[in-house]
Amino acid sequence: MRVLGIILRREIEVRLRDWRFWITILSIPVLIVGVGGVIALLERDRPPITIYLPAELRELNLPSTKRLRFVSAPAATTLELKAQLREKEGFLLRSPDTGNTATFLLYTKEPLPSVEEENLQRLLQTALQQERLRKIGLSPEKWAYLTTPPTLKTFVLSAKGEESQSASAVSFLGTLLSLFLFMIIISAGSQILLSVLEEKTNRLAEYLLTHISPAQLLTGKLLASLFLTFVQAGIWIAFGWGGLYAAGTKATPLLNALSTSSWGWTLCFLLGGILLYAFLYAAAGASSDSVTELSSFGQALQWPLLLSFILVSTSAMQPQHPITIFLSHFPLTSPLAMPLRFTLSEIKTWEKLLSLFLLGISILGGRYLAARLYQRALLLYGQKLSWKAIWHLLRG
Amino acid sequence: MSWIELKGISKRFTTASGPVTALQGVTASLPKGAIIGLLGPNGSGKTTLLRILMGILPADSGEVWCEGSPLSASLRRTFGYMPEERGLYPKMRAEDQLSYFLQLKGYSAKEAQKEIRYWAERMEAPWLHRPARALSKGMQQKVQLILALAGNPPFLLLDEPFSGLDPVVATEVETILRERVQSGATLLLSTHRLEQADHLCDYVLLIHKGQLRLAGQTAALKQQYKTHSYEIETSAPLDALPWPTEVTLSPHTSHRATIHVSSTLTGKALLELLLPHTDVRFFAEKLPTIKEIFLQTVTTA
Repeated sequence: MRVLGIILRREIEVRLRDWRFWITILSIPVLIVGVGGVIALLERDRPPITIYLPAELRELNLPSTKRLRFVSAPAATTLELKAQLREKEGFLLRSPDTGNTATFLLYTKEPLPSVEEENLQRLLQTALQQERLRKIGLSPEKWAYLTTPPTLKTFVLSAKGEESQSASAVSFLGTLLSLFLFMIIISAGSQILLSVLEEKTNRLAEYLLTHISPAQLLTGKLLASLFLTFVQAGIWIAFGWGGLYAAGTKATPLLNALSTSSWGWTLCFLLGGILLYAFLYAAAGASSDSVTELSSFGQALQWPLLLSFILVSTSAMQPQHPITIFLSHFPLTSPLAMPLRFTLSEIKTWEKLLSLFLLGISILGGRYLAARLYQRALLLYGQKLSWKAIWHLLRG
Repeated sequence: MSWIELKGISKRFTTASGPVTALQGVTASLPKGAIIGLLGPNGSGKTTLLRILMGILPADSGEVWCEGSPLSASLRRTFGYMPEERGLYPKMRAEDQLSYFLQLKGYSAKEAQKEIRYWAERMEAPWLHRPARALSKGMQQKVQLILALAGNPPFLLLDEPFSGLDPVVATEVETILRERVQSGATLLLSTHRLEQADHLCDYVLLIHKGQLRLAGQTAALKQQYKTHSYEIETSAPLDALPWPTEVTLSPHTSHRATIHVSSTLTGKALLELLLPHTDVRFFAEKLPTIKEIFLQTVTTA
């Protein structure tokens, strides 16, 4: 225990003192907030576009918006108007209708942003609609009566009763959860990979192994990685909470999208995923010579989690599809797939237990693999081990 | 006096290209309080043997005994070790690394600090506050040596301790090691530079292709393998002297030569034959070097 404490303290201190650790943790939320802030600023400071309307179009009564300002065109020919146009200005013409299709021509000095183009399209459609309703003698109220779309509210029935859920919150939560779990698991795995490689690259492993066992060294690194991963997760959650609060949105709908027990199961799968990938990445570090010279095993390890993230996001639309069910039980993908299924449908307890059991078995297998490779490959310097070499090492 | 007994140590590795025998039935007795050279070419098994002694690798068969009982893990922890592949955490300060490793060795933080201060003075190393990457190779090697020497271990196992050192630092290191041995420690150092063993080691183990080819006191081995050769320098030209038929001459100059004498004729008897005819400026028995003994052993095996 004493030795474990010494290793743990050192691992945590070194990472916390490393500025790159903080860059990794803070860059994503700061980037999101920063980019969002810059976009908001650009939006706020963007001047409106003035569109000149000739006399015949004034009857459309196009309403000015924050971005589009409609004013009467001065008396001038089309050519003169074109020549006088400045930036952030345009003028609108209407060519004769072709059947039911009305065609408008907009001339500007610079391309109109697609958002504004769509807004203008909508305004023209509404104005044209009003014009045509007047022509056929139908009042706007009767038109609204005919065309107002119905409202649909969705509810998910749980075993305990009816629950009112926001479909958008659930859908958003599912995506967010997948991304969050993916990044956390990758982060934990990367930390332990770098930690193992640090000692191998700096030729320290042999000296360390004279005083502590490979199992003690590995366990110390794992615990440190777990601690730091939860620090990272906590900071990201705090940023997310703060961001939602600043945007005037509460996080409660997101939290309520899953029941308390589902959050508990999600935490179990997160922990299991971190442990499994931490052991596998430790094995990858022991069998590699450097980050740039990852062994065959290390290179292969990157794919299951990435593929599971892609597949899980795609198959999420069908939570009961055999592929989705398989992914939620296969240990390398279940840490992402099963929590996502929680957001989409009620999962039977035996399924969750089975998935966790399989994950648990895999964790033990990963631990065995990591300990074996750690002990045997840690002293193999200057070598990037092939699959054959790894197999021989495991066989002893 | 035998202290450590190696009893039939064998070790094989399974590699992608097939099994490799690193050590085969190595049996030897290591005396206490001596400088023991573990000699052999690259790939002969020296590092494997050191790792087995330190408990980093388990032997496939055989045992290591110390003073009549199997070498225990607790006793191993008192040994000082300096591996061949050695390094430091580049960004960590040298003294922090020393403290970390000493605490792993069993020291408390305070005891570690005290030990570091002692060795900083002894090794003339006031730069221990610097990060490892700011230290020269010689300085880094001193840090690693401090790790091995800290706590005055009874048994020092150093794998290629002089590799990469300039002559000044190598001499300093040699002096410190001799002091430790004089204080009662036993030193086992491995090297592939056999000429080093000649002036440094009291006892040698010669390993070749995983097998122990030779073991014994350096002086005794030289006597055992001597070839009855002498270096001689005379005032009279060599070819003018009445050499007996038992003598074979290999002249370097007209006055200096290496002579090989058959075992029936002693150096004293030869001198008595020559002195009436010339002054002898120089006469010394030419004992074989460890390298010569090793090559002879390996080629006749």
